Amino acid sequence: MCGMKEKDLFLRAFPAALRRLLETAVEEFSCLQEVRLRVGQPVFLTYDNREWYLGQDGRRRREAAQSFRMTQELLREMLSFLSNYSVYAVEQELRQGFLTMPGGHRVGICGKLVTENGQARTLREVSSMNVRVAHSHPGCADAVLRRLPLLSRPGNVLLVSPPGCGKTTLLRDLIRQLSAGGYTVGVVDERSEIAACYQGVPGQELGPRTDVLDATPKAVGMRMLLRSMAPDYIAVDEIGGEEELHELWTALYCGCHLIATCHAADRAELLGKPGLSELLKKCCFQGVVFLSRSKGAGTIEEVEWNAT
Amino acid sequence: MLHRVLGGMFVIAACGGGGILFGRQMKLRQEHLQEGRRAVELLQAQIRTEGGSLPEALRETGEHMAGVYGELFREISEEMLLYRGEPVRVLWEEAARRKLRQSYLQPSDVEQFVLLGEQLGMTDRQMQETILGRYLSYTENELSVLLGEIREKTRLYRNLGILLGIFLTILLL
Repeated sequence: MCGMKEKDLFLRAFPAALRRLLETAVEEFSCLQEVRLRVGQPVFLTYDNREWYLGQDGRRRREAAQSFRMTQELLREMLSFLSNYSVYAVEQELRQGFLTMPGGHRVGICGKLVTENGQARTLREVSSMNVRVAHSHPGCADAVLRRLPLLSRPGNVLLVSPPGCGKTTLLRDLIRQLSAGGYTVGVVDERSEIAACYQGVPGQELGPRTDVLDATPKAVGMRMLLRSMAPDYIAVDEIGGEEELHELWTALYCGCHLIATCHAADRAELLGKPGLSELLKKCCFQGVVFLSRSKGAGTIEEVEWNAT
Repeated sequence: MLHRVLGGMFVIAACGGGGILFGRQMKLRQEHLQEGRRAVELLQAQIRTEGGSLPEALRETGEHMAGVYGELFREISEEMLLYRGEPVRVLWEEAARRKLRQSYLQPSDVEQFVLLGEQLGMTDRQMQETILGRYLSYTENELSVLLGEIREKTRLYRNLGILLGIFLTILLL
């Protein structure tokens, strides 16, 4: 998809007033990383690894003066556009606090959670949104694949970093390259962020041998893929739940390989995570990759390969 | 003399016809309310059973409906899919006021239909049901009132028209 089309598709989710300003502010769509919208507060953009205020004239500004402030009405309209004018049709996603836009951009949503019998029913009175722009960077996994011989010698890989450091982007390119390299890859895309499926059609290139289970809980999806698709690799984003780790063990016993991501700032934090630390101690992951944003999102800090 | 009688008869016929037309407007309002009710019922069923997006539901409903409501729903759906950044209520109101101007609905009927667009697609499923249900209750009430009055008032308007015609004829003669 060319940059112009991507930008137009992205801007469709914004109300007309905000859309006009963003059209001016976002000169190069590939540089836009995040848009943060909060009721009564200035609109923030993360553009080219820096935080900016969105000006009332559509310019990116360093100071809050003359910045465009968000209103609740605009947030309500935006929620309507994000749900394709059908908030009722995205209740399940809203309960989890996010929506996925065409193109795979994820929108985190805060507001008032309505509960019923202790269960989340829906989210009302939206107060803030965080639009995280999904960019595909074909070839971003080259550096990792030079150090992890996954194409010739399959193994389990864990990608580790704090949020916003490019784990999902790297995971996406690893999937694409493994799939193109002859491996069948099953993707459990719980938040529609990896394949960016919109109405059943993947918005991101994941290779010719990739099967995607969209909007499926990770534990359920891993079980389904193992039973039905016989994948060489299963790819999941942000593992950590008890049930997910249990299914992960099952997959490992079935001879399937895993590529997973996990939130942690460093090794100490990673080893402090219950369940995951056990997997690491038993050397279940042959490869561990640590990412940071020290030189921009996607900086590879450390790559470990333990083939024993 | 013959001219006077013929003239008188024309005046009576014209006034009687006017009375009948006035009564017929009630009948046409009833038909348009019924048509609107059917359209909203179909839309409600689409949302309830298919669970798809509002533009899809409106298009599907529009394709199953003839007349002004079918056109209206298809037009709103097309407008939505242009993604101009206008909220549903604006698209709905513009299209509803333009299209329903051609109908025999009363201003209060049009207002109720416009109100429907205020919340459509903006809330959860339960609220959608409530909003659509509110419009259906309004039309149900109006229709039951109309049904009781329609025969009686149609006859009344026709007779009043004829009487007015006779009165005018006497005056003219």
